[in-house]
Order: sequence, then C-alpha cells, then structure tokens
Amino acid sequence: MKHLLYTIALSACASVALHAQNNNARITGNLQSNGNFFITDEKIGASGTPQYDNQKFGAESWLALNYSNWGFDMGLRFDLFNNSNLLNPTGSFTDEGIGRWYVHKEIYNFDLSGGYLYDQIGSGIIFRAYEERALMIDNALKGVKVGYKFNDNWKIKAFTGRQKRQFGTYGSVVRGGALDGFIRPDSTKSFSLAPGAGVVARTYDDETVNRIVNEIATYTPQDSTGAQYNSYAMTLYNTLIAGNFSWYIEGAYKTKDVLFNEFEEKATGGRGKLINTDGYTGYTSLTYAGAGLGITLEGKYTKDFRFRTDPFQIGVQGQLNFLPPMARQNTFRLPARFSPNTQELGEKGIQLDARYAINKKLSVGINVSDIYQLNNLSLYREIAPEVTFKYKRKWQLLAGLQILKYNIEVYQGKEGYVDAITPYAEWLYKFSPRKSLRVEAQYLDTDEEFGSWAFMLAEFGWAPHWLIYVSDMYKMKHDNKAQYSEEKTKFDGLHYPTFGIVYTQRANRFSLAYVKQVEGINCAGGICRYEPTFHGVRLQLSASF
Amino acid sequence: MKNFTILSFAAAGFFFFSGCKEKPITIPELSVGGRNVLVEELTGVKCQNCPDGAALLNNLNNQFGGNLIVVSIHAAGFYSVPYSENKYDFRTPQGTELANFIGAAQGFPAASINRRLVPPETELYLSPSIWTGQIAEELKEEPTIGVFVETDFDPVSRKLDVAVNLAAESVLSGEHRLTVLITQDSIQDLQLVGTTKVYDYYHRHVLRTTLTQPTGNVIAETLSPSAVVQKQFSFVLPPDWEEKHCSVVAFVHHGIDPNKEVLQAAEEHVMK
Repeated sequence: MKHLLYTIALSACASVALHAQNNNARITGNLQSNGNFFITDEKIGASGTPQYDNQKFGAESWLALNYSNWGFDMGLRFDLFNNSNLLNPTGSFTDEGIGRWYVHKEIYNFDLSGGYLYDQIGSGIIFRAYEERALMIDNALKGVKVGYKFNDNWKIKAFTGRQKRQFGTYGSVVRGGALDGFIRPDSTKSFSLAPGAGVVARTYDDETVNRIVNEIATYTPQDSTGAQYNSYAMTLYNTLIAGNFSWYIEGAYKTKDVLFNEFEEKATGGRGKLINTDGYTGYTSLTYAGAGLGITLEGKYTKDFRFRTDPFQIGVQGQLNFLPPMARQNTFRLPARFSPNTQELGEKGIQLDARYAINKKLSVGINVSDIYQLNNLSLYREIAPEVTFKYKRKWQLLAGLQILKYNIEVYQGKEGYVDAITPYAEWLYKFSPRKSLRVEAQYLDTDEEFGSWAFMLAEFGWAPHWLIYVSDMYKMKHDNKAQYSEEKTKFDGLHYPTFGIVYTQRANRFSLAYVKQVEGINCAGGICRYEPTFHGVRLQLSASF
Repeated sequence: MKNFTILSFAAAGFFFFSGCKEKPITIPELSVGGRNVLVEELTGVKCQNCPDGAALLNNLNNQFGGNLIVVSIHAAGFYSVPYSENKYDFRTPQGTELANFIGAAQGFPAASINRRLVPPETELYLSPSIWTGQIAEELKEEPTIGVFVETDFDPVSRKLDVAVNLAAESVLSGEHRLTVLITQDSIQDLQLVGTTKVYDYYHRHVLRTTLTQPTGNVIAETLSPSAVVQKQFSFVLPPDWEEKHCSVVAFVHHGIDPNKEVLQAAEEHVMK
C-alpha cells in the first residue's frame, strides 16, 4: 500500500512538472519543519524521556503541494516524524509517509472530493475534521464528500469515511451530511439568517465492539451496561444578523453512545468505566459591533457529549467533534499557564468579552469567563480587564490584570484550586518605521501549585527581516521553604531563560532559539494536554510558495 | 428543482435513519480459560496517577485470582527517579532493558497485556482505559503451551532454585523465548499519590531482577507435546528482599519485532 502511495505521489509530481507551464495550472505549497535538540537538565525535570536519555534530537516536518488545473484541485502532503515527542510528550514517535492527499472537482452544481478531507458542520459540535499541529491533532476524514448547490444560498453535502490516525485510520466508519442556507428577505437591509442542520452517524467496527464487550463483561451487574454499534448526532444552527448584532445559536443531540467516563466510580472500586448514554449540548454567541464598542456574550451547556471514533481514546486523539471553549486563548505566557480543558462529559459556562475604544488613543476591554460542572462545582473563573494606550505612532502600551480561579484537581489531577492574580503589560516602542522594541512583563501571584512566577521578554524587531528576543521565566522562592512540601518548592529560584533569532523573507520564516521551558498545560481551542519541561535548542522553518 | 430538493431530503433521511434500529449487542458472561495473563505495568514513585493504575490492577487481581500475573516495572523515566526520602530505588538495569524491549509508552501508568498489540494502538503499552477489556479478551483463550514453575528456597543461605517446565500443546514453530524474573510484593515506601507524598504506600509486584536475559533467553529446544523442556536457575536473594513477599514469574514469548506476544505465564511464591 505504501509503495502504491509513493507511486501515486511520484506520478502526481511528474504530472505537475509536465504541466506546470500550462497557463491554467497553479501550484502552491508550504513547508513546516521543527527540529529540537534536547539537553538534559535533571534539576528542572528535563530528563527521563528517550530524547533526553539517548536520542538527543527530534524532528517533525510537513511538506504540502497543491495543484490546480482543468477544474481539478489536488494535493499531497508528506509528513515526517523522527524521534518526535509531539504525539506523546513523554515518548518517541518515528514514521514518515503520505500524511494527506486529496482530489477535488466541481461539476456544474456538484462538488466532489476524495482523500483526506478537512470539514465541519456548524461550529463543529457534532463533526469537525481539522488539524492542530501543535497538539498533533490531525482528524482528517479519509473518505469521500459530495456537495450540491441548489442555488447561491442553499447547499447540501454528504460524506463518509474513517478518521485518520497518524498514517493509518481508525476502524469506525463515519457518515454524515449537512444542509446550509442563507436568507436575506430584503437586500437593502442588514438582516439575514444563515440556518443549517446536520447529522453524523458513527458505526463502531467489530474490533472496537469486541473490546467494548470484553470490558463490560468484567463489570459487576451494577456497572454493566448495554452497547450498540451505531450512534447518531444531530444539530440545528442559525446565524442571525440584524444591524450591528450577530447571534449564533446551535443545539445538538446525540443518541445512546458507549463512552469512557474517567470520573465514574466502579462498584468494585476504582475510577473510570464505560457508560452507555445519550447526550446533548447547546451553544450560543451574541455579538454587537459598532461605534467603537464590541461585545461578545457566549454560553454553553454540555451533557455527555463526548463523541469519539473509539471510546477508549480519552486524550486529544480520536475526537469526532469540537466543543467551543468558554475561555479566551491567552497569548501571554503567565496568563496562559492555567488554561481550561473543555469538559465533554459535562460543563456549563458563560463568557463575556467587551472592548471599547474611548478615543483613538485609549481603549479598554474586559473578558469574563465562568465555567461550572453540571453539579455546580466551580471549574474556572477568569476576570481580565485590559487597557491599551497608543501614543501617536511612537509607542503603545497594553496593561491588564487576570484574576483567576482554576480547578486544578479536575483539569490536571492535582489538589484543590489555583487562585491567582496576574498583572501583565506589553510595551511596543517604534524607533523608526522599521525598528521596534517590544517588552513584556508579567507576574503570576499564587500560593497554589508551585507558587508565584515572574516573566519578562524583550524583542527587538528590524523589519522586514530580523527579530531577536530574549526572555526569562523565574520561579519565585517561597519565604519559608521548610513549611512547604518538596514537590511544591522543587522549582524555587530556578530561571527559565530563552533567547532566539527569527529571520523572515516574504512568506518564509526561519527561527533558532535556545529554550528552557517549564512543564505545563498546552491548549488550543479548549483542547489541552500536558507538556513536560523542555530544555534545548529549537529550530523552526516555515515556507509558503 | 423543488422535486429534486424533496428527493434529496428523502434520500438523505433514508440514508441516515433507515438503519437506526439495530440488533442489540449481547454482553457475554466472562469466560476464563486456562491461559494466564501477564500484565507488565510501567510505573514510578513520582507518577501521580500510577496509584490509580495499581488500584485498578489490584481490583482485577481480586476478580481474576491466579489467572492474572502483574509485574510492576519502575522504568517510567523521570517518574521513576526516587525522592531523597525514598528508602529504595526500584529501578534496575534489567527492568529498564525489559521495559525498552517492550516499547514506548504514551503516558504513565501504562501496561502491556501479554505483550499483545491491540489495533488501533501502535504501542504494546496500553493506557488504563483499555486494560480491563484486553485482559478479559486474553483470558478467554486457551494456552498453546504450559508453563510450570517450581521453587526451592533455603532460608539460611537464601539460595533460591527455580525449575521451569515447558509443555507445548502442539509443535510450536518459530523463535520462542523464556523470561524468568523475581517480583516483590507489599514494599512500604514513599509514593506520590495525586499531589500528596504518601510515605507508607504499599508498592505491589515490584520487579526486582531477571534470572534470564531481560529480553528473554531463546529456547533452543523444539517445543512439542512429545517432550517437556526444563530450565533451571539459581539466585541468592539479597538480605533486604523479604522472601515471603517474593515470587518467581516465568513466561514464554515471541521475541522478534513486531510480535513479542506472551503465550503463557506462571507465578510461584518463593516461600511455599
């Protein structure tokens, strides 16, 4: 099979070379490569993984080529992982091959695609096939998709396939479809509706069912539960736009599904067992934008809406859907230290984000996020006011304060809550249109987990090519170390310096950095996973052509 | 156009919902054959979730009795490095070699179940959510070879003699290996449980050493029903190993990638 794929790949490249001179032909592509040199440092916990102990180097690379001609779009992506810790932060993964290929063609009103496809229904609540390389998520659907456009406003699509798993696929078969529309009763007025509906069905393969049956067979009668091959998820959604307001609402229901619930107690003791239950979720987002004011209010309620291609996959792998997060994605280092992972088995939350430009120089904003379990146990609360001041075109200051309550027991399996207050500031000074200096300063004040941290960064930019930065994250010492456990004070007084250089040439970017990074949780869109300490040299290259 | 739309919806509806009603899956009674299941668990004193894994295995041990053989290998990298307050360092060169031979883990705790690769998993080490079902699957099977362990321990010299008898049910072709190791149960020492250091934690089934190569000794003899193959080993137990909690575990397995499957395992206490 691998040889066949390589043959197809080579044929496609040869074909590209032959026809690249054709005027209608268009070839594009991109390359992303990461290389990590690992330097052992037992003091900060940078040891004990294959990369630190023996391998010393790990790399990942993705090279994608897209070719369009004769009304066809086709693409091929070569993926490479060499002693990579991206799949498993404490392990090592080595493999390479064709990570993606696809063919797409529009024939009259039909839209046909085959191969590894990325797509979603609505906001992704019942189905989202996407890629998030930082977390090694590649949920492409290996299958076919057929779309049909009734007219400019209404279209329908149907697809079937199996979810990608590295260079293979999961066994379960997924099929689904969606109808999307757009209604604008009066073209002279700013009022429109974009309704939609979708259905996804997942059929477990025999092997997965066999594992489910074997697992349930060991349960006591109190824990025992039924199982079925098929589960169906349905959703209805709509975006209403009226003047300056935009309102999105989506509600979804999933029929009985065998899920792994890691919090459920077994009658014989121990946590974690399979359950067979239906689930539902609702999500809404109301936005107002106008006259210097922007407000977004979001709300979500989820119950048993874990939807996996394999019930035994409980990490970031095997997810068929995507539940929108109820907290903002913090970009500054310390405010991002405690990020909430979306709870598929049950959570309710609201988020408010408001920005107001008082004048051209001064703008203020606030983000409030409040998330609970369905039994009203508080999971996450973040209140973050921010102010931005621009002085002519010379300099700009952003200052904010994050007030945080984070249930570290639920999110990370540690004890209790983290209550933290983190002031942060970013100052950008332009020496000239080409030369600028950006400085970040943050201080995370808490008694919980390892205690307080400080962070500073200075970044000098020399547009359009060069960027040099240096930063340090420092673990504040506890005043009276003896009264705390060794675990709590193990990083006391340690520095985590980083310095690097970035060279940019048009759409190509090359960076080289020495990095010392503390362990923590890495999140993207509410999908999080543990990342161990990193110490070493990091090389990154990205290019588009 | 309108007819086409209606037809499309009707087809889509049929496509999705015609098969909603399905034949219910029968959950069978758990059947236990003559095969024992070897669980090689990767763990460490600094691994905060490992006690949950140990508790799960303990529950399963209670459920399956002698059919489940657990070996806890302290080779989880950084997580197995002892604290300064630890009385023991459970890491051993043999344990590390054995753990590396099995493969890589995607997090801790992790365990291999009879060293069986379970698609779609790509590694032999499995996460706890899969353990129970896979153990139940393995228990159903009948062994292709019998493994019988006899121990003779002299409390004075602390010399342990071990005899392992292998009786194949049929002619077994290909390469087979025998691994024999010693575990010690109920060792009280510090373990991180969640974020709390528990100083009197009972470490179960700790791998102490191997009497064969950690990757197994290749069995040169033909494995067939016509002859029992016997292998003998001797070892002097160090004074700080409590003999009443020590056991000998022996198992026959394949040894060449990717198939390292364990065909049968047996366990015998050092003190009878």
